[in-house]
Amino acid sequence: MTTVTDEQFALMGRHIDRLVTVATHAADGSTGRHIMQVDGMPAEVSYAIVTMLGCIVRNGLLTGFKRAF
Amino acid sequence: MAIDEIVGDSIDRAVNIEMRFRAGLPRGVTYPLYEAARTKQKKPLTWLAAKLLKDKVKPGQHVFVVTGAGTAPGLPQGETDGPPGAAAIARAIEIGLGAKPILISEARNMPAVIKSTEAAGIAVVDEDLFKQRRSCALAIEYPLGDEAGKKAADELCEKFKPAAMIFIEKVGPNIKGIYHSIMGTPRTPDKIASAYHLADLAKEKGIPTIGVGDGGNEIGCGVIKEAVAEIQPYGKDCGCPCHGGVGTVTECDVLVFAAVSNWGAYGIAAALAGHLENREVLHDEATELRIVLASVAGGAMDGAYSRLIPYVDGTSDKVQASLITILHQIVENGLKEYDRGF
Repeated sequence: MTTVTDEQFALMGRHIDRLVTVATHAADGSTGRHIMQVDGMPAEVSYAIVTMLGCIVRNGLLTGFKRAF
Repeated sequence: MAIDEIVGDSIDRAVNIEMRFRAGLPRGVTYPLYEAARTKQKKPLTWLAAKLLKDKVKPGQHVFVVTGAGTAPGLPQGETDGPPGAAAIARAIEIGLGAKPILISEARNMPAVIKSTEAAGIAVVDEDLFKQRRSCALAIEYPLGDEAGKKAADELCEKFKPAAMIFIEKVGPNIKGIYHSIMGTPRTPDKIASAYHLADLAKEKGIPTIGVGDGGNEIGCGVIKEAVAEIQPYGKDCGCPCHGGVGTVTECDVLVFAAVSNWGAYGIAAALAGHLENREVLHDEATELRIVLASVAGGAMDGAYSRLIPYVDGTSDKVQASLITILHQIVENGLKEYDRGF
């Protein structure tokens, strides 16, 4: 089974952020500024969320494992 | 102005994101157990714990930070859930409150506890030096066995007179006096530090206590023992000859329930940063990566895979650092007042 790694998820997140904030000149909703933020949170927070979503999905698909204690 | 309860609830939610494997360990239990703790304690758990520390701990006072889970053969030198959380709390109370952290664990776990704490920037020193300077911690090995544990609790409380005690991923006994893994595997008291005596003594002496757990078998989870019995697969009956269930009966003044115990500790550090309006109290992402690696170098294994890898309960070091990023943002925005003008 092919799964998407944390790094691949994070990369997708970076592309999405750049598309939204740079290419289309969208503004951050909390400050009204053209900066790499989403609702008052810098891009690093989006990457962090994407990393965590990646882990949730990856672990949610992980089967065949049973700890022995 | 310090953070309010809205921020506390956001921190609580961030540290309760369950990321369990699809099979192999109990799953779908984090949210209901958190809700039980939140309902019982009426306020955000991390917010409550941090407030208790802020109100009760004064500069120069000792705080016991008790941790260490796992036994041989599965986790012979402990697991990565516990020591990093203890390191984060030791750092937070030292930087935020000027308190003096005393790390307490079984001898087998101490390398991971010490290395994690030093990776957090807090030197672990001998008792003489500990008395003379700040930015350091003392490490004390707690004996195995129930009788020895009771004696140690008496001696440590008498000697150090702690202002508070924090238990992080520290297993407590069930109603029959037996310790268990979350899968129901029994551990007799001769394999475990009976640190619950510290909690019991603290209650008797009026010393504030905080318990941080992620399953229900950890000290502090006695606050929600009925919910643990109902929700955890081995809650009512552990399946071992004692048949007492995996949940502990040991309570604390505040229980912080989290998806991973380290995360509960990070949540307390974040809430303390908010209460004190000092974000430095919560460590940064680079420090988190160092702490997790250091715990593995000290022999701690990931508790889900039981391997020497920089994972915590089946989640990567990058996930730990990501959580720190999110916690910092919650606190930063929770302290910010901004008029966007439209």
